[in-house]
Amino acid sequence: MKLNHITKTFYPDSPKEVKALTDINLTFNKGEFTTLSGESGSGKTTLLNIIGGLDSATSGQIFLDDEEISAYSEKKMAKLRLQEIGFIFQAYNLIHVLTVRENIGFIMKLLKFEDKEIESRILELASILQIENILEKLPGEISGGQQQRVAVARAVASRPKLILADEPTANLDSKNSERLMDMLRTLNEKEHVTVIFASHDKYVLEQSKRIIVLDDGVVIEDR
Amino acid sequence: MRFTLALKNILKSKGRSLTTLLLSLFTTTLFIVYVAFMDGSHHQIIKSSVEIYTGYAHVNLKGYRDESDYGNLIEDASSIDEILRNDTSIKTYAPRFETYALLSGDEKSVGSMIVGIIPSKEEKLSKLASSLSKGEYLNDNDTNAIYIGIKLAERLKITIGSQIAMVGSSIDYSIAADIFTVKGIFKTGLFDFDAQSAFVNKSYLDSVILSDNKATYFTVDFQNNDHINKVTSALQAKLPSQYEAVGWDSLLSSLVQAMLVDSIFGYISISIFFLVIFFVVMIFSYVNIYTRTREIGLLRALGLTSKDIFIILFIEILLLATVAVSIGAIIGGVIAHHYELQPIVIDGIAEMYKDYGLVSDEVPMHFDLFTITWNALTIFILNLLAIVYPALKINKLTATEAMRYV
Repeated sequence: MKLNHITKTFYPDSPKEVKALTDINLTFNKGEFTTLSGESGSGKTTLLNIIGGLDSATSGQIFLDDEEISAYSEKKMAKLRLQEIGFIFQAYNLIHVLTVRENIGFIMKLLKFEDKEIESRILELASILQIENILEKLPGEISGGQQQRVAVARAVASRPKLILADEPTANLDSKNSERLMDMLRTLNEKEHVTVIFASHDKYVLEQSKRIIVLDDGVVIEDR
Repeated sequence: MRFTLALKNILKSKGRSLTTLLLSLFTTTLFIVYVAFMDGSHHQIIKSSVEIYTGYAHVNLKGYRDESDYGNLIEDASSIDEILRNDTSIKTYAPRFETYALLSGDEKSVGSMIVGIIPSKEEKLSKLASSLSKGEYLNDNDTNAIYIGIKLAERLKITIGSQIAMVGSSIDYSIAADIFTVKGIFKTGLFDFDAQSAFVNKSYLDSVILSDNKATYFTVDFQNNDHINKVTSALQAKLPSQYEAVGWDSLLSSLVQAMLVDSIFGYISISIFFLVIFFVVMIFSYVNIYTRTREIGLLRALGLTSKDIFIILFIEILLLATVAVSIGAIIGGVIAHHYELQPIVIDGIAEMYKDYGLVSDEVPMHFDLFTITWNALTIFILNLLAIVYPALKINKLTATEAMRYV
């Protein structure tokens, strides 16, 4: 994925105008395990949202496999998100009316995978993430750590090319944070999934292979 | 998956679903009952007017409706009698001779309608006999006996056994006069009818006004009066060309017009009712959908399109409205059917609407499956339309805007 001169301005041409990102130029290669870091308000979540097509850039282009996705229609972008990108949110964001099993299989169902394949993938992920015993529970009936593991399972279930995780450890204790990072690293290594975090958690930064530091909407470090 | 999600949304959000369901159910029931009540009162008024005296159809000489005088009589009543007797679609019929005359009691004189009838046949055709208030109904052998309306009797200040003089016109336009004895007084509840009508045996009246084998019209009751235009058209085909068969809707055209005007006001009320329902459901849907903004944002983030979201919301309202409207229609239908058989009694309503021909304080509802179906369908469609605006509005938010929504 390639980002060319990405700029994001909120409330343009108004007294409330905020420049969230300025001239971002980045390239992400397949299988990367990268963290976008920076203080609160540095623009890391905004950049993550733009990479994932949840928000659009004010100017600049984004290419995925040499195809400009920043020009995609809403419908095409939704399809891309569904097929190629897995999201892990800080607040877990599970669908509260669906069971853990249904949440994990949700994207696969939408992508019309065979029921057998969905079930086998659910069981496989549940085993890796140690959530086999809560498959029939609703999100409201399980702990925060368990919910985050379910969110990870949902994000990776359909084998997307890219996983975007926004502050995934923010609501987890150190034990659960470690477990989560271990899982994502394993998935990254075994399934060659590209993972991009937006986080300022030290532990996440320590685990990352690449760290991009933002400050006031500008990349100040890329190592 | 969209259907499963919509279904789970309904089942897991019980409070929200139940409130939507009850709102639709209540409006459906209320609407059906309201229309059944309105239609019922109209049917009651028309039925009273038709069954008390007018009858479901008349056979008369063409032109009689425009000029009801002796120049437009049925001159050969026996030939019409034979045609009607041989028509198997007709249950019963009778000739009538309507004329106008001056009736005088001891103190007062009043112009009134005098009708020559065959009492035994009329008993099966109208409610004249069953409307007896005092004295006795006529029989076929009566001569100068008269059966008059209660208001007319009051105006003439007469009672049973009183003698009244009639001065009228024979069909040759000579003066016809006779003395009649009051045999019975009737009260139909039709104010004008009770104040202006008197009945005598037709054979006797024929001898007074020289109208033997003549009639102003025949009144007809068909085996099935539900499709009056169809049966009158069939009868018309059997009649000589100078005669016409006229259904009750034409005979009571002024009453039908009055009902139409009343219906227009009814439908204006219904339109306001529709608007209120529409906005109540829409505002409720709006609030409901906006409380789910974050959830909808999440679905968009996961890859559902705005069309998918619209479909999910639509399936939800479709399922809820189907259940609510079906139950509402059944409840409304049961209420309408119940009050059709056991009418609501509103004290004083007959007096208030006497000019329209309402003769009873009992107002039955009208149970009609077709009406109930279109009532229910209207509410169903309103329910579906009511979510369009909120759904479109929420779909204008981007996934991130929606997920940030508090």
